[in-house]
Amino acid sequence: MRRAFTTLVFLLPVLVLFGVFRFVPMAGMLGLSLTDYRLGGDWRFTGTANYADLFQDAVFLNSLATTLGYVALCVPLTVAVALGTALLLNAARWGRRLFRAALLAPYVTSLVLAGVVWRWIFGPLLDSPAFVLPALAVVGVWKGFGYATVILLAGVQTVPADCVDAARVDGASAWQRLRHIRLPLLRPALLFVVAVETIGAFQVFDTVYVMTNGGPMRASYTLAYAIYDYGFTHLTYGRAAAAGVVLWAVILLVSLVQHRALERKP
Amino acid sequence: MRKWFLTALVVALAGCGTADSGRDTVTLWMYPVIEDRTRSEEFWRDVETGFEARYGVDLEVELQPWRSREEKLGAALMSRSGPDVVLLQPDMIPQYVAQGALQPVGDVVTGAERAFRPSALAAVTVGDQAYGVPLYQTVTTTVYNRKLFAEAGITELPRTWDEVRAAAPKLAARGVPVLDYSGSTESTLNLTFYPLLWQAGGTVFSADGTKSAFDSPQGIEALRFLVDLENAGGLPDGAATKGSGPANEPVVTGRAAMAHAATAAQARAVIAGVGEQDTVIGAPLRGRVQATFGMPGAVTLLRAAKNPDAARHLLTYLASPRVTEELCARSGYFQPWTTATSAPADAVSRTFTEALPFANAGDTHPRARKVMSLLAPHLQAALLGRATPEQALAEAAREVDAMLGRG
Repeated sequence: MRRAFTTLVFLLPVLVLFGVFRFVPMAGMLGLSLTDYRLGGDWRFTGTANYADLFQDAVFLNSLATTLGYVALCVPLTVAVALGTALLLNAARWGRRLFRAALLAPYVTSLVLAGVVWRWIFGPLLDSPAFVLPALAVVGVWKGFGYATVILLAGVQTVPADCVDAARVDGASAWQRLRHIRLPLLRPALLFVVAVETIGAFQVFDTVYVMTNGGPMRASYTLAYAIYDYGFTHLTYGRAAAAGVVLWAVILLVSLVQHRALERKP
Repeated sequence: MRKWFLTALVVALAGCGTADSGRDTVTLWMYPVIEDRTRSEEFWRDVETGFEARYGVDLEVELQPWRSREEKLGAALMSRSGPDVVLLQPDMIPQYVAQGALQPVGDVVTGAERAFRPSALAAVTVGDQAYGVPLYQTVTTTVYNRKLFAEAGITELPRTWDEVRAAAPKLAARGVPVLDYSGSTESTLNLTFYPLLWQAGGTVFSADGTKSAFDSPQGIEALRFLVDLENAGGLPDGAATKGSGPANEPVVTGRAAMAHAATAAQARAVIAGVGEQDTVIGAPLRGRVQATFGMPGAVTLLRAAKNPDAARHLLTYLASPRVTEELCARSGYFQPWTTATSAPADAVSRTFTEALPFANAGDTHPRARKVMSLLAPHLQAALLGRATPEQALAEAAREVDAMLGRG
């Protein structure tokens, strides 16, 4: 009993912060999504009208598809690049700490500033509806792979060397050692990285805002950008909140599916 | 010790409460109407002093940047920390009225010492109520780089669409686009496509405001004009997605031959960029008719104003001839009254005066801004060659009408 109380006391600050800064805004967003709240402060309860409105809106559905496309490009690429880099760093005999620190630089760089530089780098490519999403995904990978590498490197280093050596003695190739020894043992780290990158990719906004404004021809009009548009350009706060709830539900669903898939024992 | 500490804390907190002067306070959010920061701060400091002396009410003028102003204002109003009075553009006023965020100010307008231009009043009127007090009037017009035209063998600067079309290939042969154009979705269509639409004789909304009207022969003609220029090399690289910003606009840096809806500030930037001798400020372009964008800047009274009576006093004070004349003199904009009391001081503003009769403030419709965000991507599609002007406007009209129909 005393132990439970002590645990609760230690957890209390986090619980309070989490409650105030996560659950309360989420509840507020859910409530707002059921109203036609206006800037003057008036509102009416509109039930699920905002949701019905969203799912009849081709622009919203297009933004959902665009976001899924971005996630499908960005997350596998980030994980693949991060995994490759982690394996390379693990094999490196020197400079591992230096590279690890260097790889984190994009992660701590302001994406708004970086977005301006990337816009110069890509130039006319951003005018092409076919290339704009891959271009944004490249920026997403650049931003996220350093952090993912650090997590995966820590995971790779926990793989027992004797397992890998035993496989090598048994004649397993490098690919077989990766496929059958390292990757299964990396599953917890991979699960974390995939989950974090997926959530981040679904919420992509700053690069879109700085580099493309959702264009050209809405080819990069993501869900987070649509929420911004609904709220700040159209002043339809109930609709923006409803779109936020949809984004939250999609992330939750995808995260659960990923969790199930990656947790399954081979 | 603990008792002493608690006593000190209570006294300190009580001190915070009594620091208030006890006078009413009015907060005004103002933007860089006067571009020069020092002159702007000086002017608004004088306004604060003058208003406080006259009405015994504290005035706080918060100078905000133009950028992201809708986001900031929206967020402030949502969190109940917004100003009492704010400067709004006419196409924002109906949207804010529909949001229940503004109070009518007809009494201030009718009680003003001078009569406002009817076009300025129409731009701030929703239904039969005035929701803004015009402080100044802006207008846009054409700005040319005479040297670039001359180098292409064109001595008569183009005044009509046909002349611009004819000049495009000659300039393009020298790698110069005839017209600067920003197709980014963040650029307001008031300064890009709409002036062309009006010059073709078209409108954005139907007369009753229930449907779009840009998908018309006039709208198609306006978009075809742009697409023709794009195909002839007459628009800058990446015109479909290019953003606007005075510092790096092609016309400012001598990489485009003209702008069709330049503000006075842009004209001054062109003069600074390419030189006074090569800059010509012309009349608004003529398609079927001659038209351009121009609007009043108006101060509005927010419904959430903590002290509406004091805020009304502020509106009256700002609309007084002494304050407005000085604001217009310092900003280079035009006086909002039917009879201007003095001509603008600088040459650029005097030339812009000639464009005033052609000024269109845009449709006063609560969804005017929303329509822009729906229409802009389809204009991009036409400029990128992904859709014909007919297809682009038909698709945009379908989206806009669906949005207007949803209520």
